[in-house]
Amino acid sequence: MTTTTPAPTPGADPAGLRLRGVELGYGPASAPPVVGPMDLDLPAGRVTAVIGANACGKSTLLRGLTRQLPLRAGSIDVLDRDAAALSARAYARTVALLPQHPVAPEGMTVAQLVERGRNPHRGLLGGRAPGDDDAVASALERADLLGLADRDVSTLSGGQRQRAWLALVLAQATPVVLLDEPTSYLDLNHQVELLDLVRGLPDPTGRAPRATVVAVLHELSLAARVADHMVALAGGRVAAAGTPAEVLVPEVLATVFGLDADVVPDPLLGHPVVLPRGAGDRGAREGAA
Amino acid sequence: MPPTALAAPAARRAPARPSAAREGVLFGLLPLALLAAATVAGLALGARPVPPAVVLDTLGALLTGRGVPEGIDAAAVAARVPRTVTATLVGAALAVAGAALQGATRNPLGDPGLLGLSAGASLATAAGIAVGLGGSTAAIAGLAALGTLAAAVAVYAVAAAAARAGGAPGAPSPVALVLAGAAVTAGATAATTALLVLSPTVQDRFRFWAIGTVARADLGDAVLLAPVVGVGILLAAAAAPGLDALALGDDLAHGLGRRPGRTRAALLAAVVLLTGAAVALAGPVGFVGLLAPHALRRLRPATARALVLGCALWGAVLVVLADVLGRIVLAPAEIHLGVTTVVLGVPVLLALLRRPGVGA
Repeated sequence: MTTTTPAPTPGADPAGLRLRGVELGYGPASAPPVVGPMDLDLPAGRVTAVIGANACGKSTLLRGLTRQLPLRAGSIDVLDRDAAALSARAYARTVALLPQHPVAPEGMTVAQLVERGRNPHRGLLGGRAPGDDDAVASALERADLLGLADRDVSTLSGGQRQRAWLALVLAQATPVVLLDEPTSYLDLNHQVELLDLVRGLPDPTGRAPRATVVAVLHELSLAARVADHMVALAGGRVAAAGTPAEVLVPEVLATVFGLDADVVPDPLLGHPVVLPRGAGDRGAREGAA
Repeated sequence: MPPTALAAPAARRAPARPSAAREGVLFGLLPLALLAAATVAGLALGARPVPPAVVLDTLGALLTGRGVPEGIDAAAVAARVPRTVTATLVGAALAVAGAALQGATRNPLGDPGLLGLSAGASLATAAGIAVGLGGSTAAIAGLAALGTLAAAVAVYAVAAAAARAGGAPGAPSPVALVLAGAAVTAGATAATTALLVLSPTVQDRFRFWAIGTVARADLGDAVLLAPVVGVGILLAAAAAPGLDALALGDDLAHGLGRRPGRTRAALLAAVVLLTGAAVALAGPVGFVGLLAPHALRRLRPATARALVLGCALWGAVLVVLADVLGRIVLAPAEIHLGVTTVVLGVPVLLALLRRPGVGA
């Protein structure tokens, strides 16, 4: 199960993102890489959840995928095109990012915030593009924010605000969407609501019925609920990749998180559910038995 | 959950773009009309008030190249032209510089005066005059721009070092920047005063002392530096789409295909041009860069471009009116422009400091 360079699963979907020999790091080139060398295929038109312990390189990988951090080595193909060949703005029309801590400027309405997602579609001087109104309106509708369009962003609740950020990314109308822990600080009901929204994201280019989504997620059972494909990272390498049922097994959880856990199927939906076991749990149970 | 009944097609289009016409009025036509009115007031009012009809007559004669008509009233109007033109340029330059600084640093307290840039520009100007470099207005503007840049680098370095020492590396907080700006202002002002005392040349040629004024403005200087102000405003307006993205954080700005580093470099270049020109024309004039952008943000411009262009016009209105106010309150004595803008600006600064996230 713990392969460092997994081959694409046989019969899997075509790659939305294809990484070959990718190395990412900070500081001088002599410093050890934070991520890689890594080969990774993320299926097109599917939701991929990236999981891993803190400081395993999840956010660094996402920064590499948005080209915020230049590659030290290797290449990334996005929808069969070399990422390095695209201009920054053309890339932003293909790949959108919802960062972990976006900044909400003061005195801005929800509609104005969402409209900022149109930025890469505009001319150099920022003139409005023809599709702007429709893209903003449909993003607001999909995120169920039409009734809040004229509200000040600072007055929104946590769940509403996260939906507003997601609507901004939707207005960007990209076939690939990257999400960095989109559910942090949300109540459980809002986490489920947001992830269901993420699962239903359409591909605005019409190339596939659904967008290619890559989401860094912390909560493993929720990740298994939303994801078609799952990648577990440990020490900047791929520890396991495959369907949630293939990745969320006790051996992988022990390697990646150092966690003792049982995994059972969800009784209604069938996806794996992780049941963590603390140091004393098994002993107490055996002692009682 | 919000009600979904609003999802009717008519309501669907409405929220995205309610403000195109409103924006054109608030950030374009209205301040233009006010600027015309303020200009007439600026030419009419002062120690010797002149009827508006004479103002328009004289202005018409001047603009058509017929020279100044006879009479004391016409002469008074003609004498007020340089300071009114200069006040327009200074107001536009400082307001846009403030908007650019606030955007580039995501810091609500960005203002060329508050962050020590104006004081740095004044010191560089005085020092340049002391060593015989201040022969022309162009040289003075160049010195002022260099001083602005040096002060910006010094303030940022001090504030960033303070942030590192305080265990919070990264972008310095608004208050750290303002404190560093206050320190640079104090040091630069003291050094400028010393130069004034020590050097008769500086005493003779350096017109602005510690406080900005347009009382001794020269039309030739204004005409020479108007293109610099124009380029600075255009540069800030061209960087505005990047500024829209930058306001959402560097990560999201990258995701939107903008380069935060390039946007900041363009904005800093605009700030250096605008502050350098403003200080060369009128000396340090504070709080315009704070007042105009914050007032305009309350009107919720949809884009940074509307904010920048609105600041250029509203800032000009503000400074022309501040100059008029300084002339009529104690007539025939005058209050310097730098004092009037501080009197107007301090309440705004106090209100800003009370907002969450600024004082922290």
